Amino acid sequence: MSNFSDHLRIITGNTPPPIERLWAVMKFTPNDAQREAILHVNGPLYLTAGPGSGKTRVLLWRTLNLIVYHGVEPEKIFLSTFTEKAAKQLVDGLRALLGLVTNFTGQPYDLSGMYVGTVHSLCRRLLTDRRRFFADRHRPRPPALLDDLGQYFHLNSAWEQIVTFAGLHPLDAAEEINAIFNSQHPSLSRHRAIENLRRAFNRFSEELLDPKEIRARIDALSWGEFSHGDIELLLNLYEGYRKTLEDGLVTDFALLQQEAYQVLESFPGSGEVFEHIIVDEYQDTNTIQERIFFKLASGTKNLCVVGDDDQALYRFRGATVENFVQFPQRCQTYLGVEPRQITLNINYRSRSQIVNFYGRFMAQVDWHSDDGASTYRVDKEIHAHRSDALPAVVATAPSPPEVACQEIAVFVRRLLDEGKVENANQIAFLYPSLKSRQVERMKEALEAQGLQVYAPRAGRFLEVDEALDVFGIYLLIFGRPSLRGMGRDVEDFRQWLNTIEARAEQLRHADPRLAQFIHDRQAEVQRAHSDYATLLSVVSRHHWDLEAPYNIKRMKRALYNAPGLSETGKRLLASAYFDRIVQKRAQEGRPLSLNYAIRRATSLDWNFLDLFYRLMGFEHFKAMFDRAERFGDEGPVANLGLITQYLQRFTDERVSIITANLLENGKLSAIFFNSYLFALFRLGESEWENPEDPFPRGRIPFLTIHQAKGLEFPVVVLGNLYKRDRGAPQIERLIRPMLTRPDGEPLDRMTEFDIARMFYVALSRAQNLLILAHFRGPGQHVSPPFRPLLSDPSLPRLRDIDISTLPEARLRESEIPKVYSFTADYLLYKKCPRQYMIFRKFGFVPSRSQTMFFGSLVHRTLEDLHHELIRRRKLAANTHQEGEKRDA
Amino acid sequence: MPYQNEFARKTTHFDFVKNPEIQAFLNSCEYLIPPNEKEARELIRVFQKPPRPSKIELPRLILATDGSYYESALNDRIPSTRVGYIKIGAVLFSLEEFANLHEGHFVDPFKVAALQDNNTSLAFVLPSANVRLSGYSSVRDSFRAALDEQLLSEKTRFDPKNFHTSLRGTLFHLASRRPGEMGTDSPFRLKLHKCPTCGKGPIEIEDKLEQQFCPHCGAPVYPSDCLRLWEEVHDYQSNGTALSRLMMILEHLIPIHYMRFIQQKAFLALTKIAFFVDGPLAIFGNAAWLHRSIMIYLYEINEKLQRKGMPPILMIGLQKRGQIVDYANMIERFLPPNSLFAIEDEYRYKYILANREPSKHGFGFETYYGQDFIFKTREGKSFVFGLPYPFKSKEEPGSDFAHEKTEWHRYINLPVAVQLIEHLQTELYQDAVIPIALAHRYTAISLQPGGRVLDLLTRRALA
Amino acid sequence: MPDRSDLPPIEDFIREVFEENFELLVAESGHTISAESKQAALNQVLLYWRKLREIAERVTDTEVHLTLPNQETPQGREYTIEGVVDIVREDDRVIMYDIKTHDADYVRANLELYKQQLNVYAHIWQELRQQPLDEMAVIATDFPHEVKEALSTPDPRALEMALAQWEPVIPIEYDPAHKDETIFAFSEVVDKIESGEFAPPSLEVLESFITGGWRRERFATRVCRNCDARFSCDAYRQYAMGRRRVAERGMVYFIEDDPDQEEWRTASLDASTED
Repeated sequence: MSNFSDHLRIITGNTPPPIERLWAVMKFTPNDAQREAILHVNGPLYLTAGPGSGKTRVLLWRTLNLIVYHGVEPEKIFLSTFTEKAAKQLVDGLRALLGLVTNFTGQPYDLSGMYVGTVHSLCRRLLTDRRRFFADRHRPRPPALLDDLGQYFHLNSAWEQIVTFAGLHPLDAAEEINAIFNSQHPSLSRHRAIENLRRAFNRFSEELLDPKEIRARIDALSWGEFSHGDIELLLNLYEGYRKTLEDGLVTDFALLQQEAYQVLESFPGSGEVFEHIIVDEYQDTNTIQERIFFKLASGTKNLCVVGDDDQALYRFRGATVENFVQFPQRCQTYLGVEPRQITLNINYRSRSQIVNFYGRFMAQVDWHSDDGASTYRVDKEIHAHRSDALPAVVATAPSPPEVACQEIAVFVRRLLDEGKVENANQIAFLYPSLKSRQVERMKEALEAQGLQVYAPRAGRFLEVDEALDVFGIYLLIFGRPSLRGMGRDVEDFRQWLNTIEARAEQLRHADPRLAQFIHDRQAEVQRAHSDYATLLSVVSRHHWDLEAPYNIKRMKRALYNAPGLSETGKRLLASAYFDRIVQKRAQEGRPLSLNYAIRRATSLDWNFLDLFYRLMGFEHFKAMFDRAERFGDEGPVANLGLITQYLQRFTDERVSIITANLLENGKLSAIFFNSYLFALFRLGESEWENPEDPFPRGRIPFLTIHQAKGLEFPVVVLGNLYKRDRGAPQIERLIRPMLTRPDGEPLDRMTEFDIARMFYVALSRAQNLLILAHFRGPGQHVSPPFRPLLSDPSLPRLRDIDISTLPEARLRESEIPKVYSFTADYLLYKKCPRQYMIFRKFGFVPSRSQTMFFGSLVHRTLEDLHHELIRRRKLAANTHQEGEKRDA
Repeated sequence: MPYQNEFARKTTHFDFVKNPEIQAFLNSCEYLIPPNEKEARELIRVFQKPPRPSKIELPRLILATDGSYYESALNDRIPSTRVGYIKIGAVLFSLEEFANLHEGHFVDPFKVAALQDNNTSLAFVLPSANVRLSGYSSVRDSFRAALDEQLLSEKTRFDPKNFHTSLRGTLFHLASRRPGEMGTDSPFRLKLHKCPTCGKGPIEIEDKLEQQFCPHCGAPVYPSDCLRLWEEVHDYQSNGTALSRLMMILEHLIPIHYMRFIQQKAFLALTKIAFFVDGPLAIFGNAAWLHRSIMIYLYEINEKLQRKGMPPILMIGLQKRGQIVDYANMIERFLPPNSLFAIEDEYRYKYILANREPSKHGFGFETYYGQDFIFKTREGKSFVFGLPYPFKSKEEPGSDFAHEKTEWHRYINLPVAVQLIEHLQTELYQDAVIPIALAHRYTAISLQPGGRVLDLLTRRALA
Repeated sequence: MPDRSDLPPIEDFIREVFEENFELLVAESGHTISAESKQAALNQVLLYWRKLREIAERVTDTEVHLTLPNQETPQGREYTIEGVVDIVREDDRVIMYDIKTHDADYVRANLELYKQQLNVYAHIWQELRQQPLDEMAVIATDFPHEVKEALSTPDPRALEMALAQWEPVIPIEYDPAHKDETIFAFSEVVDKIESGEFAPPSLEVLESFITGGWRRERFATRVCRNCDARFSCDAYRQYAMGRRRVAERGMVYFIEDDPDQEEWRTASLDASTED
């Protein structure tokens, strides 16, 4: 006799169907190379994948094959991607495919232990993974990570320490540093100096350079434009920088990887922790990353790298394409084995004319080494899977930019009108840089056709409407700072201050309640300011020492009775709570100073974030929330969320509480606007992008070629065929002599290669149609590899193209399941959907909420406690065993 | 449900029809009479060669349900005191095993018997005439309480520790899908059209263990009251109608019950299994509303399967008796092998139902969730089977349901169904295929010699 | 288990990592908490260790991530559920603990919520991970008022007695029926999130009292007053208008409305560097 659950077991429980059946269900027909790559299991795999060759699919299915058909536990897989977004897509995709298997068998898979992410995030995870990378679960405390902006501000705030460490005087340090990089016209700007150092330091770290080791051989090296003194200075500054990081318990991206590498070096089993190391976009890895990967694979030798040297784009981040091109040799060196090489060269994305075009484009460049013995490019030939040979690459008539832009705009209008694309967001305009006049012209031409453009990184975040409005009101409350200095940046910022001031005035005028609010805040600022003066006069009358301990008995009454002290000031001084604190601190031997007492009594009740949230209560801003609550336009709220993140950085790193001493002489306003926001302004922080829906419907995306990496569009317009070859970047010239690893591409040719690769990425994004803006006229240039292609009379021109021959592009919906957390999603939403939207969905930073911090603190410490107890138990067990052995 | 002839008493109906009074009466009636050859040729013109799958892809597993019921007197001396038994069998076997059953053209009954290890059955004991549970004032209330308790009992659950996995839980899943006012948004809530005690309603009720009460009169209410069987339970008479209705409901509820849990655990396993149900794909009586919920439920699952590029669930209602079967038998000798007909309303009313007045909304509007087919196999055996309608509702705006329901191409599984029936046809039982036959044998209580034991048991238990 | 002589006592270890974690969190989140809150957090961990040492020493798997894939919402969206627990495995028993920084009375008063959550986790553990499970419990680390008071008295016996009476481990009954209802409710929430329903709770909810805990508080006090977004929130504005005569001022801003203003002032001044 059976019962229902036995039946259910019989019905559901069985072995997974053959992988071919899964392919069939997913309507995937792998070609021979794809199949071979998917089914490859043992030993290093060198997967060279041309554009549109189904690389991501192969990665997904290969991982599935390992997990489902070879029993590899997900936690034994290390999968590194170039962006977090790509990592998320891979995990989501994998979860969906595994879900399919579960649907057949009832056997579930748990991916939470799998290492998937960018190298940075994986390094971070590794550094906290006591169970697997630290003997006896004992690990050093990993420092907190500075992001790029954090690194900038760290350099700024630790400036004096760093430059002093290197023997410079803080006042002329900026100029001296800038002189290393531009001896003719060294800038005086600290901003410039920080940016120069940031680039150099990051590169030093990525190349694993050891200042001591370099110094030892510095005389044997020659640098051309750089003197030995320059190098000495940079190394000293680098050491100073690293010291300040250590002192501050922080680290940067590049050094984080070094730390992870050191852990791997010192942990005996690090080559066996993962059975499979898989690295996507391998052409964009740098030296430290390469070392990490080979170290992780040193035991199992299962290292699979995927990439395309032609699409290497990130030299400016220290990436070295040679890591990919020379992978077979490196494999020999590090692992002692030859990798299996599989080439995915069938392009499923683009029509054949497009594939031919970018193939010919690359052939215009001579990739051979000067001696002709080797090549800097992996040999390959891409074939189009789509067979139609109709024209798919067209150029405008060679004409002045205004004319060519108009020709393109009219054509784009027709594409939309005739339904060749369903939505404007299927037509992408790609540019080497969006900060160019060519971009402006093109936008204007499109707008003249009634088309809307979306250019997420073209403008500064500080220039979005919400930022203008919020910061404008801050300007009214704290007063406009005086801005000294010259130069274009300063002038632009001054303009920006004018704009926000004008907008805020309008808002104030339109909403009397807001006007009252602003007035009240100004009065509070005024009150704090005058109380401060009042109290200081009491101090000087009594000849008290501001730094001496605050003595309640002796001082409180006199301060309290100071003539003209406001009610608020009195209340704060009289606070019984404060008295208790004073006594407690005195007992603990860290008495509070008189200065502290005065600052406290003249502090405001609110900080910059508090002010922000109160402002949101006024109609102008509240309406934005109201719309978002009902699934309306989310853009404004998303931008407001980003503002809170910048404000939080400010309250955290600069001014957590507004005290009266900061209000003297517009000091606070200067700190906030001239120092903080001006830095953001110069760094050009960009606006919020929705990672799930990157291109809003109805708008034509304008992207940099870098942004377009990994994407594809039915129609691509390459809006500028020119990028100036300025020779090898300075940082390359600086770093090259210090390197001990094999030489890469020659300095005098690397930029030619880089430019060709960048345009290659742009050209290969197009699915159905590639349009080239062919500018001609005074001041117009075209990069060399384009020239012969453009002068080929068989190249179709836009006016010749028959739109009806173009295939129609349909929108695709992705249906990949998302992950929701029980506490952070479900319970939070149940508590308050609105709170969920604001803090979870749009990442607003709360101003006062302590509960989250509190919970994290307790939980983390409990987790550490448990780890420690487990560790001690193990130690005890080992000791016990050893004891037994001895006794035996 | 019994097979044809199993009930057969030695009735002498020949004498009976020869009676002149009867003859006179019959002359004034319309009823099914065997067609002559010419008529028959006309009748079979609607049949065509069935669609065949391009490649043979039969399901791996078969699940068949069938039930029997029996009403027993407690005591020969008090025949008016009765208890009802229902037994529903669910037979699971793999086609691979089935292949081993064949000995040439015949099926080895001993091997079939051996397969029965994989079977499961549910028995329900319900008070019928003049029997009350202690504490209940009427047979009707006793019947309601006993039914609800048994639908909820551990033996009906996929997870004995989780009452939501009971048959009653599945009833909630279906009832919550009722279209319109009577539906709820949650699979844990359903609505009773009225309270059996005070008659007020509708009343919303939850899937929970605690006793629930009518908000109007405070009397106990049960989720299974929604089946409205209580309306047919009588205190002093036999409750054969209620029992047979319940048996039929269970025969349809159990396959859905399986689908629900296969879906939860390994959704695509649904494509590896075929469900056989005895009788037409329809629910009759006061619970007929259930047919719409089943339609919606199947449609939803099939939609999900389709999103994964999978064919719909294969559910086959096999009819062993009834008017269509009679009709099929009548025309069988004229019908060439390998022919199929999806019964159209007009044809049914005219020929099968002997010129009955067509109902306004079409045949089976309030009861059927599947389409009837008549099929004669290549081997020359005739079957009447049903496949679920591939629609969410019969009243989709802009659609012509009466017509569309008979279009073969809408039944994606039709070729497989045809193939499978041919594969499973048996010589053991007339008009039956192996699974149904197995399920039947497994559950046919009291009509078998051993059935008498139940009578004894009943008496002992209630004594 | 005796501490090994070369290892620091556990309480010292706790203080040390606590301090590290505090600094790290400040660095990561850019926030801080008042000295009082910080001390309270440390006390929670220390008292957890003192009170629940037996459990702490038996934990075998900490911060275990559980995921339940292949869920589907009523509107047909597929999604995955994720949660985190601690596990104790012994020779013949497996116990699942969910550590909450809530107080035990609150947990007991809202047991249903915790039952739902743990039963979902239990389902994942048993069904997906195919691991046995014998018991489940919530550990409520926020100690009761009596312990708080005892901490501030110098008499060590007072703390001992208060600790003895504290019952922070609340067993949760295994009942898989809970998981079905919870997963369904979860699915509905996913649909709402995906279809962009983010309206705040109604005024009635804001005015209602939250059960459990030693303080009787309204939703608006316990939840909204700690929410920075309340100023732009219709529900909270209605609530605030109804409760105070503030119509002429429009809204209550700053001090009047902020809890623990003085604590905030102290914490911020502590964090700020002298300018």
